[in-house]
Amino acid sequence: MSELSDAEKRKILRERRQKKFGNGGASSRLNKITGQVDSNLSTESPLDTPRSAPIESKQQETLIDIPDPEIPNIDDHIQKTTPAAKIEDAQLNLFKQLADMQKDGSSPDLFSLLKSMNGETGDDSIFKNLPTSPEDAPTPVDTELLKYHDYLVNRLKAKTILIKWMFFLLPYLYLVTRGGRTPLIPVPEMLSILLDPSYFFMIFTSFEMVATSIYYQKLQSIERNHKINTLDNSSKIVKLVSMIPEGIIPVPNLKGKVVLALQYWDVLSLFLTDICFVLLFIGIVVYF
Amino acid sequence: MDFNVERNLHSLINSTSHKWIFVGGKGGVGKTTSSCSIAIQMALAQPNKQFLLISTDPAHNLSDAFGEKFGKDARKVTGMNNLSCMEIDPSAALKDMNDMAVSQNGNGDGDNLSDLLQGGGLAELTGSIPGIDEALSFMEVMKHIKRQEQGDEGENFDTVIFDTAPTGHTLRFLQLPTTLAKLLEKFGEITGKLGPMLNSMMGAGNVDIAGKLNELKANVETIRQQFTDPDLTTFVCVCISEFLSLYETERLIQELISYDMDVNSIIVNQLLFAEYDKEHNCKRCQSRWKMQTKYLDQIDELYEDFHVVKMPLCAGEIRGLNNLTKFSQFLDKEYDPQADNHIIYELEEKN
Repeated sequence: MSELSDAEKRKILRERRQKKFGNGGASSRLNKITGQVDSNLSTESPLDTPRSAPIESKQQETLIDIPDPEIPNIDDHIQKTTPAAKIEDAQLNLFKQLADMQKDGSSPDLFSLLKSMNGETGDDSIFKNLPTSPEDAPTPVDTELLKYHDYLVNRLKAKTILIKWMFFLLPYLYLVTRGGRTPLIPVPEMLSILLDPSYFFMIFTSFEMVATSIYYQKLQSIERNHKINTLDNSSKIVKLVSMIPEGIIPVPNLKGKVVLALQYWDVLSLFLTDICFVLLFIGIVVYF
Repeated sequence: MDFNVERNLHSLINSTSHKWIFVGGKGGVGKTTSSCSIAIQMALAQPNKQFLLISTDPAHNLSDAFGEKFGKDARKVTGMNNLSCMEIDPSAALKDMNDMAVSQNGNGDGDNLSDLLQGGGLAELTGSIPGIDEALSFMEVMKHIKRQEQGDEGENFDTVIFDTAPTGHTLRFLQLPTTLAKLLEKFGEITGKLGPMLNSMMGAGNVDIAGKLNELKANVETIRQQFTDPDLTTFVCVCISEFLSLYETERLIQELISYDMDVNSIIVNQLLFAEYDKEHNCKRCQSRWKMQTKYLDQIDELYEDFHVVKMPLCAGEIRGLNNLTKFSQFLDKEYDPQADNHIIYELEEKN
């Protein structure tokens, strides 16, 4: 076998070294050094930490799979829809559109760009997605997140109604209509006074108040988590009202007033739904 | 396959392929002495080639090591016709840039910018920017690459040896090509897309921004490629046989490997070899040598695939070309504590 050249020797040694530093070897080497003198210096190796972490994490964010298409991962959506991310998206869109215009051969000159910035070209305005200032601009909400939010709000409403009906109104109405005399649901003696029909409206309204308060607490917690005001984003009436410029109608803060009215209407509608259920149930009981 | 790695820098000293040699390590371990020694040995081993020793350490020591003044321009070491030295001086380089800006801006037209520049404002403003030393060193590397490409015979050096600043500065300097490449790539993407707009804006000044950026990008890419080519670039770590130095050396090596840089040599300085020195074997030397031996054993174990060169602690300072030449011979041929012991005291006599 012929003698190795210097270059070949260097290459073999280099490979040997890389092998020793790879596969966690780097950290164990640092452990070996610090272990001898019982030092508290860091043994985390630069070789064991990813070099382009920010880029990779960004890639990971876009690659996250949503486990269930019906119920998307809410944390990811909240992260993706922060105002900063939206501004970045808008800037990316701007670059994309500029690149497309270049590809078409229609190089945008400064004048046309300025015109676009002013919105003179209508739909072609490449700056239309850019918020004017973070304070002025309404917080943009991702449509997917909004859909998910609506889904959760509707689910909460449905669950609340179902729980109210199944676990309180139905047994309570049954007992009230039976005068507390039923072998199905044993009632303690001290509670039988509550089944007196003359107390029905008081108990019903008290229950409605408690149930509505719990419902609104839950709703607010969902809104806080998603940073979405349900009425602001889902109600068509609010959207239409918000299109009316301030000052045209002699009512200050029209949108706020409409939102407040809608909130009251929401509470009332819950109450009316339950009243309807009560009337329907009593009707059925009376019929049979 | 098994073969012993030489415990000297003979292969590096006689290497004809290496263009860039970095010498670095923790502060106070003898980086300047080691880099001067490598440069001298290379210059002696290859008399037909030109070598340049650049200090990128803001606290320059080259002038003191050789006992003669070096400045921002390469100057030959007295007594050697193929070794030049230079010390990158950020303030002087920035003053040059400032003066150039003043001359380009016209003479005494009385506007505020000219007044600021004429007072050395640019140098003052930029001189305090963190990392400016590394950036200027990097500019120097770019200059040399350009000269080599243009075949400028007068200023051409075959190998450039860097006497670097302590570890943190050096790592920042070595990261610059990668950081700049990434930055320029991002910037290139934006200018590519906004090119027509930028051209419209810059049209009056006839500034070809995209062209300039592409040129800079190409230069940075060349440097990055050269720095990560083990046949062209290598890093020599300098340490002493103590815990903190060993720890920092290991981290430095790991950082360098993470940058895809070649590092295969370690110089362990200031060793006492007390057991061989019967004449000057005091109690303090003995206990210190015992401590050094403990870390030397660890170094031997950890770096069996590296060229580990063990250098003695001399009785005096290693200053001046003659002392440096004497000391540097142990880089090429291993120091024998018994046979070469007298040399460390010869240096003392010369001081």
